[in-house]
Amino acid sequence: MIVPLLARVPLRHLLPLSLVVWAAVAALISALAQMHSYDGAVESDMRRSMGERLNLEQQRIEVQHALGNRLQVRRIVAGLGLLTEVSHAWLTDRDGRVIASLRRAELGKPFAAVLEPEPAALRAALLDAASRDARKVQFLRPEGAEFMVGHAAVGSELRLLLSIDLERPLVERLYASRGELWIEGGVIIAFAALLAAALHRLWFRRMGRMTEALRAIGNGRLDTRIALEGRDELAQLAAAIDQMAAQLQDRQTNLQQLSTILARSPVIAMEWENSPGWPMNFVSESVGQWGYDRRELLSGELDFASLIHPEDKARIVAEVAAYLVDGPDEYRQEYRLRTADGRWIWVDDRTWLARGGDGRVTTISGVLLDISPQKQTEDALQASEDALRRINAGLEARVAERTAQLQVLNEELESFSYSVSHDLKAPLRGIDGYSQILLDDYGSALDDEGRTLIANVRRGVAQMHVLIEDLLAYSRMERQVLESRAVELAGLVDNLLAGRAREIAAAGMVVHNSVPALSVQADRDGLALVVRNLLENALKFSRNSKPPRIDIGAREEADKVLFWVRDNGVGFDMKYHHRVFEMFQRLHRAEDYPGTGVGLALVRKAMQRMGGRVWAESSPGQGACFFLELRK
Amino acid sequence: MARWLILFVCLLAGALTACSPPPPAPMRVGVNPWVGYDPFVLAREQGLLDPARVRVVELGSNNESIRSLRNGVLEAAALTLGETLRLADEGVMLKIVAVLDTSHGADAVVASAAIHSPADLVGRRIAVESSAVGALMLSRLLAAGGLRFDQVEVVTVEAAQHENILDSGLAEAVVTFEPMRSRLIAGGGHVIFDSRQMPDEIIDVLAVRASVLTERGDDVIELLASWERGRRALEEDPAGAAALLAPGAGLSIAEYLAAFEGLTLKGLGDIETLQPGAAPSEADGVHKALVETLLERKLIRLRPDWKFLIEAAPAQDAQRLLAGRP
Repeated sequence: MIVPLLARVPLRHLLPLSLVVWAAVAALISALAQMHSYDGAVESDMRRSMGERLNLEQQRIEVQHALGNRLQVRRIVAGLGLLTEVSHAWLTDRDGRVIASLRRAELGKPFAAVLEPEPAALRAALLDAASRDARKVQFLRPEGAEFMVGHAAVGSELRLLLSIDLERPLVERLYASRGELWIEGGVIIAFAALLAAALHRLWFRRMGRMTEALRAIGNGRLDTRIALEGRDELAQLAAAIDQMAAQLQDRQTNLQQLSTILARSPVIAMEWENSPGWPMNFVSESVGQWGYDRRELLSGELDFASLIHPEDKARIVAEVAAYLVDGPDEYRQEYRLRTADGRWIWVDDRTWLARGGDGRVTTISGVLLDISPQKQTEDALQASEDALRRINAGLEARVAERTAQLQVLNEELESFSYSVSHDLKAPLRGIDGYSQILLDDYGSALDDEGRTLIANVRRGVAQMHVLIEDLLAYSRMERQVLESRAVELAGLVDNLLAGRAREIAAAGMVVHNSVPALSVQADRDGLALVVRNLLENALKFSRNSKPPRIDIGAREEADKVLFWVRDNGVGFDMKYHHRVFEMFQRLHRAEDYPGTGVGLALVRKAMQRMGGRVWAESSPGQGACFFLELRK
Repeated sequence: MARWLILFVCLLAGALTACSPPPPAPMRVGVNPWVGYDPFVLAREQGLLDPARVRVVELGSNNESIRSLRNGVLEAAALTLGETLRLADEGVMLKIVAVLDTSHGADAVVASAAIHSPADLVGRRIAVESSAVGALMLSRLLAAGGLRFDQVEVVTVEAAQHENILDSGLAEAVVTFEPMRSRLIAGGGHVIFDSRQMPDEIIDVLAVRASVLTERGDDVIELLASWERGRRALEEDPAGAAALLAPGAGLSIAEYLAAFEGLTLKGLGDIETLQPGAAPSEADGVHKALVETLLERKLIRLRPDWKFLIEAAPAQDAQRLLAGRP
């Protein structure tokens, strides 16, 4: 009863009030303790003062009684009435009769009889005192009584008995000390009140602010802050709450943003109960794009399973049942869903499961995305791919066919070229032979011009022969089967240089061969042809240099080997680089540097056939460097 | 919050201040053995007064009453006018609120058989209470016998001890009053002089401390009403009163009743007889002999200020109280 009642009182009132009440109770207890001590003090004082008085009266009465002065004795006893604490006084004789009293009517009556009107406790105490035989002044006080009985023997016959009131002196004492009690109580209560006020100011006023702020936060006004001053626990608590409110506000803002984004996104977020039909606990606003009202879905009128396409439903139900039992707890499914207008759409459902402590799935959450357009695109893509594949197949067949035709034509052409070259050589040999005979046999019959003409014919034949040889070599290079094997590069170069030693010496050529011991994968003859051509090329174009110089070198690079031949000849402009390796292309006049324009074309063809590469670096007048890239 | 706290503190303070002061102790009025004061005793014995407000204390002598009044042990006392004037002259602030009785025979000089007249007292010992009335009586006694003070031997003896004074041989004559007068006569003494020979000189009044009148006016009215109730009860049933009171006075009923023949009890209206006239001398005129004697015997130094001394209002209030009027 009291506890619920107290619980309704705000703490900011209850605690200070309790403090003051406590102080009041403490003051009361203190006052009661003091009052109790007063009781003892009053009794003690009374015993002393009455003892002194009775001691005196004992003597006076005894003297007057001895003198037989009864009136004086009566008046002495009656005079005790001056003492306000004395309620009554009697002097009894040996027969127990009253011979003096505060009341004249009691004179001569038995003591027991005059006590009849008195209260029982007082009467008992007085009779007890009257029965005692002691000369000494004595006092009796029954337990808890507000009176005291005094008695003293007077001579051997008389007994003086007094009823003494303790109540009035006690009350007077209390009344006299009320100021003291007031001050004490006042100080305690004032201190408690001050403490209560301080508590109120320091604690509850601030707590009130905190409560109001919390209420505001609870009502959703998350921008509310308490901002309590101080460093005490309350201020720390307020700071923590402010921090919490700030975080909540941030989260709410984020949530609102997310909610807004989600509402406008093609993604639909859902949460299902793990129960048959998968009723929905949560559906995002974005479900409106499927024509559904989220309240309709959340009302339980529709369960989710009923929206799944009948052809997909059994699969989905089985998969989900398996996931619920064995996991994984995150999975994706694609299936068709019915929209509010009856259309079927494909959805990509990314689901995650939440499990309770017993491992049982409590909630199923997921985000669903309408992937119907992608599905349509995929279908279209698939169709296109199929068509393309068909077209490709046709194309490949045609390419193979054309390649075969080309091959045949190429072979025919090569055969033709070879045949032509070969066949051209026979008449050329005839021209050469007959011109030689003409010169030998009929040289003398000819004048100088005739001999010069014949000599020109013979030079043209020789040049024609070289050209045909080159073309044959080129043709062979195209046709012959190359064998790829390890070729020792340094040995190859040494052999070739040895073969040209005389020519090199004659030209005063300085050759610096720094090719290390490296092995490359190539056709030996093909490679020899290539290197020989490069050497010849270098010898030819550096012939006029002083002195002519050729550097030959090679180095390993990853799985390749780089080989170069550098000369200090005339060089060429790099803008003509692409022409250097073309057939019959010449950058210099034949008169200055004779040649057929086939050599470097032959080098490129050979390198192509061997799976390598050739290129050059040069600038006019600065010499040239030809590089080969070969497989290790 | 502050409102609650203030309310609570006010309630608490109210509860504590409700602790009213204890009621004052009963107002003590001292009476000596003079029978003329017995209406107070009768009122007490017959429950005609409120014991919570008034306590009648029977004392052994005038001196005891005077001393107690002077010392503040008594709030009021029944005294002779002369004693009252003496106390007032001492500077004790007193008010006379009632005339209780006048003596015409109840105060007497009782002598042993050998003494027949005041003139016989030459060279004799006379016991007298050290009081104004004692001095007055002695003065009148000597005057009646044509004696001077130095011709007699004066022994001071408390009134309550007068009873046996002649038998003990301590004195041949005693200036006394009822009931000791009757007791002495019963013991063989005889009256050689009494207050009949000095009419209206011995007047008993009720004197209260001036402060008590101010602070406890209602209790003074109750005291006066008690007197009046006791007086009326005594006059209505003298025998009943005598039966109740005589044993305490050490008298028989007959003696007790006889004792009253020598005095006249006064009602509350008799205070008017003391009212001062236009001039102080007029008041002195009524009690001229008393005042002169007191001055002559140097028992007082100044003439009394009757206007200050006499306070008639409480008696009037008490009369209204008794008449049932507000």
